[in-house]
Amino acid sequence: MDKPLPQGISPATFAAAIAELQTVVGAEYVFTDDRAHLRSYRDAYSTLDDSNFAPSAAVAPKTVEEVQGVLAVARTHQLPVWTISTGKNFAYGGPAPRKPGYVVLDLKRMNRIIEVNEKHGYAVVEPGVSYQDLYNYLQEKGIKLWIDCAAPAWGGIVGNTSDHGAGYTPYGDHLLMQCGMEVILADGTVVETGMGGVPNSKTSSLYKYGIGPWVDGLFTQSNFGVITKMGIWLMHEPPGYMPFMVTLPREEDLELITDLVLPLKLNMVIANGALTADLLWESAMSVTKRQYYTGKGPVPDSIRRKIASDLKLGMWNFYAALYGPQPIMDNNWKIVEATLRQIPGAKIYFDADRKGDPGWDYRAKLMRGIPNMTEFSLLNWVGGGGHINFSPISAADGKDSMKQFHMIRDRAHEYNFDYIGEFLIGWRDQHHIFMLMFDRLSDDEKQRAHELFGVLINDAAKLGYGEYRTHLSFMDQIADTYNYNDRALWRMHETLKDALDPDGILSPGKMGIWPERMRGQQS
Amino acid sequence: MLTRRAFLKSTVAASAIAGSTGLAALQSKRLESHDIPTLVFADENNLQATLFANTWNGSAPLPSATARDVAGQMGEIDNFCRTHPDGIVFGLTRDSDFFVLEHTAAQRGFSVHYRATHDFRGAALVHDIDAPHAVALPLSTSLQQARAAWPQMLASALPLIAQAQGTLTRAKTTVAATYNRADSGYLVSWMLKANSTG
Repeated sequence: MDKPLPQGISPATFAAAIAELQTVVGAEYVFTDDRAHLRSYRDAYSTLDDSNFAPSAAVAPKTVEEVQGVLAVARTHQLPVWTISTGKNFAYGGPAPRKPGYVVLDLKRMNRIIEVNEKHGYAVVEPGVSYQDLYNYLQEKGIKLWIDCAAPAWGGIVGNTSDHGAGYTPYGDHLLMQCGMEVILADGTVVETGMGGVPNSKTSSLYKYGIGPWVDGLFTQSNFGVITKMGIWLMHEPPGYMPFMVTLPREEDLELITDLVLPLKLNMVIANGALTADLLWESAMSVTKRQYYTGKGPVPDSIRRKIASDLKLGMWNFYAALYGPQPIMDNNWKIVEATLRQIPGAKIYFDADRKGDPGWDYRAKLMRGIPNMTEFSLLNWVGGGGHINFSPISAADGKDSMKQFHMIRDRAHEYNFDYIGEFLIGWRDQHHIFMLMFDRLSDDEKQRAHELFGVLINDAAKLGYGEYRTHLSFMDQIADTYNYNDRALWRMHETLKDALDPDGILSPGKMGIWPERMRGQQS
Repeated sequence: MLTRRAFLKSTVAASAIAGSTGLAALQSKRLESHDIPTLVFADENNLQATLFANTWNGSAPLPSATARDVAGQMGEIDNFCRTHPDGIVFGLTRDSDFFVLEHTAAQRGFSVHYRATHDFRGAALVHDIDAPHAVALPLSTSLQQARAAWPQMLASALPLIAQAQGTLTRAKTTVAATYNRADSGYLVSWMLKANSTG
């Protein structure tokens, strides 16, 4: 297949831009060979042909000065650059750009852990630092701080945080735990946000807001600047840690557990990113679909009951943990246990009961900030498994969660997919993740998955639900659902975009935010 | 997952597959005698993968790494690819583990030289191969003829796959087989080489 060029860029202009990029970063860090290098920048889980998101080149700068140089070249030639950190945001597009022909601005070489402060519990990292990298560093240095990681260990801290990712310890709201950023604007200006606006600041990683508008959020899930440094708070290792799991026998128990746990979350008796995962999500850690069911379509209820029985799982499975000194954990456990015992048939498990069960092991690790890759095991549920995630927010309310679950489950079954999902309880909400899993080697399944996803966006919007994160293919459609007052929010985004990036070079189309010169042309 | 470092001895391995009708056309090819650093992965929880691994290691068990969490192997493949740009990585693993290992190796300039899925569907086993043109069809035939001994046959064929050139060609074959539901039923065999080594 011919490699795509950026829209509106001639081969001669592209060649000139590439030569200039090579001067900025060195020829060995500009990648143009499709087979040798650029295939690794494609979306392995695309429901469309991945040529829709194929880059024309990739460039990997090492320093702020090199990033500035890359952006200068991009401005000169109106070259669209798509920024990635570690590029592992699979299910949402991974390292791939929004449209074919973009140049990927790969920040993997900016991988310094700049500072770790054990006393105040924070780290300052560059975009190429993964959760595994920071964890290894803390272990090697004997620093008694925990990270809060996304499920896959290779995820980038800056990338995940700026995509509003979440985790499973009490520090699970990653953006809340972010403090201070260094951002390079499209014109090359370097901005330090928050207290970092004071030269030689001693508090840039201690207090988020500085003075004046708090702008950090503008650089998340957006294309208003390139984040080159980020502060992140880290939890002090607690004196005690007690993970637990509750299996819930009936589908309707989702309503019960949600309503019972909410007061515990609001009062921080349960402080961590607790979650309720459905049967198949947990099962897929240990078994594959064909080991139980080789028919077409979703697993029948009778088979689901057999899986649950064999693997000692519930139709829903709640995971949470207690932290702190033993007397506090003992006291809080009395409250938690009394709450959970109100659910008929609920069974409570601890580490001694479930150790060796892959589903338990990886959750217990995540809830104490130990990165791992076990969640990828899910993808063996179907042969050739790929997935995109449909991620609406629901209220932390039993009836609301059930309504959203039924809506998604019923549509998934209509399109012959299993419902595989979890509800991650936030401060007042639930992050509902529906893992739409398909055989990535099957064109039929990819097409059905793509159609289903588009239908779900519309279904959710009609009921007043919006998504918090999404795949490249659906950014425009979801942006259009945020259309209160004639798209006032997105019109404001576009105004900011035009002011901060008048040449429209930074990640055009990210989250449906297009530069003026490309508005109305997207497909 | 089981891993092992070894050296692929192309001449020794060639004789092991001499009797395979499907690859008879390649017997006469003169192979250079040299040692190629290799890193092998096999899913310890899967019977076929264990048979594959044992073909490389005789009957001695391979050292076992952390089950189900491929994170334990990411450092190993990264280090191998960094220090052995002339090396080969191959495996018979779960698809999810291949995905992670492939993407990890890609950062060191390694890409897919060969890949196949081995998919139990009802009473049949489907081998769906993407291999260098010179070996795709013979390999497909050999897998079909090997029937239940396909993991061992595949392990023996790896030296020839490693040395084959050309663009990837697809070949598919279906064999009557009994699926043991204790196994996952879907494996991927794969080989990664540095981009410049063809």
